[in-house]
Amino acid sequence: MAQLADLLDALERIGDQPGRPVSAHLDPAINDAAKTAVALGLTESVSALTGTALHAELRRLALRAALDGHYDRWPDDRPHVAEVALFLAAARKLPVADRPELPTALREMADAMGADVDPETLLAATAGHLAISGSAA
Amino acid sequence: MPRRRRTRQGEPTHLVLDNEALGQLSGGRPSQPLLVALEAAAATVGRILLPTSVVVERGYDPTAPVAADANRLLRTAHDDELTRSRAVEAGRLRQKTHHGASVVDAHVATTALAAIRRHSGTATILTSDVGDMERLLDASDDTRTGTSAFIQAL
Repeated sequence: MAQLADLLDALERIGDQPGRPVSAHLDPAINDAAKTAVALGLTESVSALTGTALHAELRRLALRAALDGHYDRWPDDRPHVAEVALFLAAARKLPVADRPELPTALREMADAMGADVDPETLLAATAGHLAISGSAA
Repeated sequence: MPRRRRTRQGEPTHLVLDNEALGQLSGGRPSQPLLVALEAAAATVGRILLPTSVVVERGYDPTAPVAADANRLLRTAHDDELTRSRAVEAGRLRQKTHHGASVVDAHVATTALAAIRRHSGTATILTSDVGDMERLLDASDDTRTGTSAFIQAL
């Protein structure tokens, strides 16, 4: 059975060998968009774009799996989604990050939106809510 | 007044590991601020970057016995090598701080600036050395990247 360590091993070998053709079923619109991006000079080639995007997503999946493995061992370490959204606001230096009510507003919005809400959606919803309530005050 | 920029939702949040962050990841159980930052990178498809000079400073040995979970987290990071161009940029930044910052800190700061230039989004430096990092980022001539870099104290 494949293990996370196998994925990490494979990720560390990226770039060691020259590329070779592989087949993949893609939505034709994705292929069209990729070709257009190449024609516009936004990216080197469809192959380069595919490789870069796939590499980034595989790294993200590996990180997600490694984090979940950590929480399996230490369940109390899993951050609340509101903390992650608060970090994103600060890291992006969004004006809403300076609002003192943001931490509480994020927690309340997370409670309202449910446990599965992602931090991006939570931050956008809370920032929108605060903008409306701020302009109404 | 802090410099502001507009960032679109969904832009990647890259992380740059300084000495303390590497120590936490290689030591077994990362702190809560570090886990929050890793979650943010996972949520935004941000890169985790490990400047190779930090490996030297920390004396990190990947063959040493560490907790498997921490080792897996660390293995999701990309190395950022101190190439000639990166070294030149780091040297310029360090000169502007009148050599007040270390070579390693200057590499860490240029890793963050380069990540923003190359991959867009924002970059967060995870460090216990906030003062030197602030001086280095303030010394950057590139206003766009300078304002997209954030420092998270660990």
